[in-house]
Amino acid sequence: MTRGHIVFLLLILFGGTFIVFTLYKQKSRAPLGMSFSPVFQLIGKSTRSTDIALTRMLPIDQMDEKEYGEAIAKEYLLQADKKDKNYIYLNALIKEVSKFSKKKFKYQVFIVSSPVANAYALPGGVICVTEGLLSTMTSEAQIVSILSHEMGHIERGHCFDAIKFELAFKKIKSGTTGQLADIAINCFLHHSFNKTQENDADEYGYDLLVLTQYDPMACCEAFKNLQKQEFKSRQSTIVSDYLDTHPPLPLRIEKSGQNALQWWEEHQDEKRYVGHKNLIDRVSMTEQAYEFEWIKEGSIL
Amino acid sequence: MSKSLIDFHKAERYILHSGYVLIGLFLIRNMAFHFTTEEFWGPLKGRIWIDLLAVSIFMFWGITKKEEPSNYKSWKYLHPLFLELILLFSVINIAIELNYSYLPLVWISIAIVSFILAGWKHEGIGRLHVYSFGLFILSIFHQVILYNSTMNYVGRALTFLDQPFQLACIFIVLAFSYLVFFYKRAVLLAINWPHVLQFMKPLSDVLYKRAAFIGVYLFCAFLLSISYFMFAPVSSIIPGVIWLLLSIVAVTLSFQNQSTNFMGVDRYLLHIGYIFIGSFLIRHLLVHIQVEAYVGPFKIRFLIELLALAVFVYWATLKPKTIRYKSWDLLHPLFIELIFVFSVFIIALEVNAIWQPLIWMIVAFALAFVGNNKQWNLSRLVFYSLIMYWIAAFQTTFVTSTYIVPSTEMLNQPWVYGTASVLFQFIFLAYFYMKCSLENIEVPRSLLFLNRYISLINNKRNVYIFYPLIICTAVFLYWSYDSSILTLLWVLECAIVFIISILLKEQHFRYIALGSLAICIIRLVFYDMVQASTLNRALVFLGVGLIMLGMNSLYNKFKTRF
Repeated sequence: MTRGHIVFLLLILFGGTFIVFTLYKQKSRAPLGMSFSPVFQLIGKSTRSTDIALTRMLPIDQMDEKEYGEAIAKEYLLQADKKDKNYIYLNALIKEVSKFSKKKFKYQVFIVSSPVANAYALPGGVICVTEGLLSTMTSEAQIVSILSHEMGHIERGHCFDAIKFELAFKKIKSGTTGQLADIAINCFLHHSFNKTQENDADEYGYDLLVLTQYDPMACCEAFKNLQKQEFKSRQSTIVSDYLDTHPPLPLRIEKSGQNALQWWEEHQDEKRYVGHKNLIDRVSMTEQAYEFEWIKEGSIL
Repeated sequence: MSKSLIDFHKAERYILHSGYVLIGLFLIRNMAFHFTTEEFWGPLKGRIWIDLLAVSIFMFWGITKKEEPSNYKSWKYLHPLFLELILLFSVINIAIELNYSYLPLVWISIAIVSFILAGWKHEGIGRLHVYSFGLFILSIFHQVILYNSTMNYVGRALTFLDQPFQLACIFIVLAFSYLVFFYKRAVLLAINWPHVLQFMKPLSDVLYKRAAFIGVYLFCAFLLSISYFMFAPVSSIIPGVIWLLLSIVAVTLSFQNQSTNFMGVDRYLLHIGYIFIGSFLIRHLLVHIQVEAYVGPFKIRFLIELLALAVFVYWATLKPKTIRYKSWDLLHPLFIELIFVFSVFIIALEVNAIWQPLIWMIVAFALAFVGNNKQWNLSRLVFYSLIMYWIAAFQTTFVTSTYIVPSTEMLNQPWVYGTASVLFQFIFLAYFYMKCSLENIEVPRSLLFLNRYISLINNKRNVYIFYPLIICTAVFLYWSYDSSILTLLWVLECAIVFIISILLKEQHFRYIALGSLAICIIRLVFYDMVQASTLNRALVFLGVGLIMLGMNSLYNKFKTRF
C-alpha cells in the first residue's frame, strides 16, 4: 500500500466518522424501516420514460387532450351546483394556481360527494375533489398543495399518457380499440411506474406551492392529515410495495417536510400564508388575506 | 529391617484413587448444595471462596507430576483431564456467579488467558488453543444474543461501564485482538491430546484447516449483527455506514496480511469486505434512500453516497501483488463497474430531471477521457461513455423536451438544459469519432460477454454513434418548433447528414440524407403550403432551395468520394 492509499484511507475514515456522528446527533430514521417502495419508484423512471417515448410517437397532441377534457368537463358541469360555496371556493383557488400552468387548459375543480378524503385529475384540466378531503384538510395552503399535486398530473401528461391509445384510435374512428389498448398497457405496465408518476406530481406540486405565497410546509401537513385517515398501519412487502399505486405516506411526509424545512432555512426573512380561517370561511386568500395567517420560519407572525 | 506390612506402592495408588473420589464427591455436593447458599464471608459469598479454593486445589493436582513414569491407569487417563476440569468448573461457576451482562467479556477474557497459557512450554496444554477458540465462538454468540435482549436498556441510568453499548465496544476490541493473536500464534498441528480425548484430534485438524474461514466469517457475521443492534435504535442509517467503513478495514487488513498469509486469512478478509459492501448496498436501497434530512445544503443521503463512492474508489485502486484468488480476478475488477453504476444511481436519485441529460453527457465525457488514458488501462470505459451518450440523447429527446416545470425562470427551464445537452452531444460525437476507438477494448474476465456487443458496435461504429443523434435531433426539432419552420430545420439536418456522408465516405448517410430530403419536399408541398402563412412559405421555400443548391454544389465537388 502506498502513502497515497493511507492518506485516502484516513480521509475516508474521517469522513465516515463525521457522517456517523452527524447521524447520531440528528437521530435520522428511515420512515418505513425497510421498504422496496423507493427502489420501485426509481426503477419506474426508466419504464415511465419508455412510456413517455411511446406517447410522443403517437399522432396526438395537447389539442386532442384539451378536446377530451372539455367533453369530460361538460359532463361534470351538468351535475355541478355552481352556487355551492365549496365549488366557488375551489375554483377561485385553481384560478390563481393555474396561472403557473404551461398547458393551455381551462382548469376546473368539481366536488364529488364522498366522505373519503381523495382528489384526482382527469385529462384536459379537470380536477375532482371529494367533500371528505375538504373536511380533512385544515388550511387553505393544504388545499392548494393538493390542487398543485393534481395539476402536476395534468401538466406532466400523466392523465394524457393513460388515454393515449384511445385518443389516437379515435382519429381512425376506433376509440374502443384504443380504450382496450390503454387498459392492457395500464394493467401490465402501470404498476411499474405509477409511484414514479405520483412522486413526479408531488415534486411538481411542491415546486408550484413554493412559487405561490403559501407555506411550503402545507404539503407535508396535508399528507399528515391524510395519514390520520389511514385505518391500518402499512406492512411493507416486496409485492405490496410493487402493487401500491402511491408512494407510502410516511415517505411523502418525510420528503415534503424536509424540503420545506430546508426552504425555510434558506428563506428566513420571508413570510408565507397558511389560511386556516380562509378554509373555514371558504374565502380564498386573494379575496381576503388575514394578517394573522402569515407565518415566518414556521411560526405565526 | 523387617518387611513392612504395607505395600506402599499399592497404598499410593489407593490414596490417589481416594483423592479422585473426594474430588468427585465435592463436585456432586457443590452442584447439589453450594449454589443454594447465599451467605457472605467478608466481601464475597461463601460459595465463591469455596470455588476459588477448589480451583487452586485442582491446579495443584494439575501441575503435580510424578518423577517416574507411572503405570496407573488413573494417572494415565484421569490425571490429564484436570485441565478440562479447571476450565469447565470455572466456566460453570462464573456463569452462575457473575452478572450476565459481563459474561461475553469474561468468556473472551478466558479465551485470551487460555491462549496465552497454551503458548507456555508446559507439556500437554497446547489443546488450550482449541478450547480458547471454542470460548471465542461461545462469546460471540453470547454477545449477540445478550445485546439483542438488553439493547432496550440503552440510555437507562446505569453506570458508564454497565451500558450494553460500552460493554459491546470493549468486547469487540478484545475479540478482534484475540483473533489477531490466534492467527499469528496458534499452533494447532502438534497438539498432544490425552488418551481419553483422542477423539478431539480430528477437531484440531479441522480447526487447523478451517480456523481462518470459521473465525473471520463468524466475526464478520458478529460485526454485521452487533453494529445493527448497537446503532439501529439510535438511527437506522448508521449500521449501513459502519458496514461501509468496515469493508475498507477488511480490505486493508487483507492487504496487510497478503505476504504473511496467516492461515490464508487475507482471502477471507477480502470476502468479508465484499459481504460488507453488499450489505451496505442492500441497506442503502431499502433504507437509506428513504431519508431526506439535510446537513447544511446537502442531503445526508447524498453524503453517504459520496462516502460510498470514495470507498469503492479505494477498493478499485488496490492492486494485489499476485492474483492468487478467484475473487481478485473475477470480482475485484468489477469495482470500476460498481463505481459507474452507483454514480448513475446517485445522479438518477439526487439530480433534478431537467439537469440529467446534461449530467449524463458530462459523465460520458469523463468516461471517454479516462477510458482513453492508456496509463489507467480502463479502455472499457469508452464503451460505457457511448451508453451514457445514448441515454442522454434518448432523455433529451423524449423526456426533457416536453418536461413541464411550474417555474418561469429561464435557468429552471428544461429546454435550456436540453439544448446544452444536444450541444454537448455534438461535441462528444466529434471527440468520440476522432479520439476514441472500440478496437482492442480490454474487459475483465467476468464481463467477457460484452466483447460480443462491443465488436458488433465496432463493426458499424459510425452508424451507432451518428444515427442516435441524427434521429433524436429530428424528433427534438419536431416537438420544439412550429411546423412552418420545422421543414426548413429538417432540410438543414439532411444537409448536415449529407456533409457527414462526404466526410466519412459512407454511402448509407447519403441515402438517408437524400431520402429524408425527399420526404421533406413532399411535406413542404402538400402540408406546409396549406398550413403556413405566405411570408413563412416564401422564407421556407427560399431556405430549402438554398440548402439544396448548396448540397448540389457539394455533390459536384466531392462526387469522386462516393
